[in-house]
Amino acid sequence: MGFFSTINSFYVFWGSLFLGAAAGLIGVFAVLRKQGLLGDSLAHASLPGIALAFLIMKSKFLPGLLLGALIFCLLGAYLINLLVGKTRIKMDTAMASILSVFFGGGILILTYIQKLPLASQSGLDSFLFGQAAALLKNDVILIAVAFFVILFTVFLFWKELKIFTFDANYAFVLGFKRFFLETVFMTIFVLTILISLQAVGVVLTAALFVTPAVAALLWSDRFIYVVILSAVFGGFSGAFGAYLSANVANMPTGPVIVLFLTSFFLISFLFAPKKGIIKKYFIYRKNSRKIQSENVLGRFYRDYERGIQNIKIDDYVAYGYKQGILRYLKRCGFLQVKNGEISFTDRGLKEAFRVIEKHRLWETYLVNKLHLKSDHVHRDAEDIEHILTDEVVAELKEILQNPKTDPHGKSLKLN
Amino acid sequence: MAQFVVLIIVVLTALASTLIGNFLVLRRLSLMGDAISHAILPGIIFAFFIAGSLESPLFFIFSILFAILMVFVIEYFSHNLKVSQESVIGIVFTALFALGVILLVNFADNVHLDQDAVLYGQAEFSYINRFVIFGMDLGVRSLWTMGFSLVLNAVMITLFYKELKLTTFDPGLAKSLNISVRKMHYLIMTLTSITVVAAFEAVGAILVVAFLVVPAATAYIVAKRLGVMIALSLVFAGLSAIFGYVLAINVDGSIAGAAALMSGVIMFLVFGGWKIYSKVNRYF
Repeated sequence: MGFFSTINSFYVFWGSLFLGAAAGLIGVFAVLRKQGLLGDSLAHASLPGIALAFLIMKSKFLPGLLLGALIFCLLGAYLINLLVGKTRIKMDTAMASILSVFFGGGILILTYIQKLPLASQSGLDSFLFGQAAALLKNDVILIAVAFFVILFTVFLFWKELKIFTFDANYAFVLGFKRFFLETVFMTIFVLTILISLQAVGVVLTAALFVTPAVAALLWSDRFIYVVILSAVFGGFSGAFGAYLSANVANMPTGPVIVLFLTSFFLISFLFAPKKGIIKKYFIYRKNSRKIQSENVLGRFYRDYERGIQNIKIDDYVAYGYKQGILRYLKRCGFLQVKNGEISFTDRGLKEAFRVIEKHRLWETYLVNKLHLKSDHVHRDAEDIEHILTDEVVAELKEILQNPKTDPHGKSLKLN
Repeated sequence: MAQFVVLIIVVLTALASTLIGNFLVLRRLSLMGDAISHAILPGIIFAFFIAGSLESPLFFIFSILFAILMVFVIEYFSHNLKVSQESVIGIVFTALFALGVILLVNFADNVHLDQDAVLYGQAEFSYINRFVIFGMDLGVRSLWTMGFSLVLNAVMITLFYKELKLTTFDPGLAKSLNISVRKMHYLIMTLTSITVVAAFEAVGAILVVAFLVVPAATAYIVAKRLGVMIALSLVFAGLSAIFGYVLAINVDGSIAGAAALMSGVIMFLVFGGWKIYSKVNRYF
């Protein structure tokens, strides 16, 4: 049958795809609301629910188990809110507490169940690490229905959820109902957790929400693109992770899906066009070189004003400047080196004056318009000289009516 | 006798984790404890391959180094990403734990650990491994490792009590008094790592996660002074460990799970009691 060697792997593929996409979708909202790990806490909190439901039913009837999970998820969410609202305990501690206590309780019941004389309990611990391979036709239908419910809800309340995510207070000022939106969001959040339990397991659910969302946030600043991309990362990882897990021995589903998600994250972290670390490194290097060379030009210009036209390379090094910057400035045609002495080219002199002009204009502005003392302004000007654009320089000149000197009496004309 | 030793090991773990946990709770690092205890799994497996056995001190050292490396990885990513630190924690610990589980499943026969043991540990059998140096049998190993981390935590916290207190409550003032906030942060992270690694092998991950946070949080509800908070948290931790042990023996279930559950029960009893007390207190 080609790609799908059995009908079962067909179900596993599609089930995990919907699952990953749903979690990726919700994850963006959760991460932006700083609730990324709430999914982790609630997933852990559902374990005693699953175990107790099994203990009552004595069978692994999935809707029953999920009902138990739902009750304990909600109980966990309620207790976290209670602790944060009524005591000094902070959110992170409340989440960690509920997570470990409920999970501990769940493990206690699971170990108790394992020793009961029943035949049906084996496989219950697949809820810990997930077993997508065990997904059956009905489970996949359940997941698909849940996925479309989530998709529809997000579509229906898109505007509300968006504003609620970015600026909750503003949303409430505009008249959106806090309790209603909070409930809508928590409902789809918990729904996603529930459908992920069986395939990915309690322990690693957090990754389904957080990892694709953070990866997608690196690629774009448009919310809609981020949400779509996160869902794509999630769906892809879910589908191919589950497929790999079902077809290769000794590959538990949850961990494989998580490693797929992590690869997406790492690739985004390194290579994303604007926010990737490599791009950021190049921007940083470019900036640092610009600032250093402008500092060198400024220093040389001040010396030039005092009549020192040539500077020995040894002195240049003694000033604490780097050889690389000198090479760069030579390459730009700003400086020339003759007989071990550095001097300006004509272009370099003009460029250096532009830097000094920015510095002195800013000092003048601070003294004349903001009435700062003239001995307080050098530091600020030292920073701003690298930042001011030509437009701002023109505007400053106009405001200050083309001053001839700066507050220290230094010339604002190139001589 | 063996049962008594197990109880002692569980109590030692509870006390060691809780001691350092007070500072995690106060510094909002609760989730970091959770993250470290999950993320050291691949480290433990690598350490096992390097050291060759679970008994070697080399194994212990490599695992601790890996745990500290983990802290740096999380801090590196949070420094370079514009999302909240908890999201970064979520990414890093799930990734490493997933890697650990896959390694474990594939090399389980060599490592003498199994999936479930990683999570809920086998406190029940913690008395079996002996501590042997130069052919001398010095007793139960977990007693030594947990005892060591308890003593280490106690000594370090006593030595640096003033600095830890100041950097926790007023980092700005600490800095102006020339006390390094960073050094104290890494002191706490190192102690946490050592405790987690020691406990991981003895009793598994959940017990540590619970005891790193819950008793300290419980004490935080009522205490108004750091000294009182630490003292109370140790009492709560000891009680949770003992009651948890008794509960686990009675239902024949996981000791670690039961102790974690008990710490939660005590938390909500204290919470309820404190609520009633403050209501009643208003009328007197």
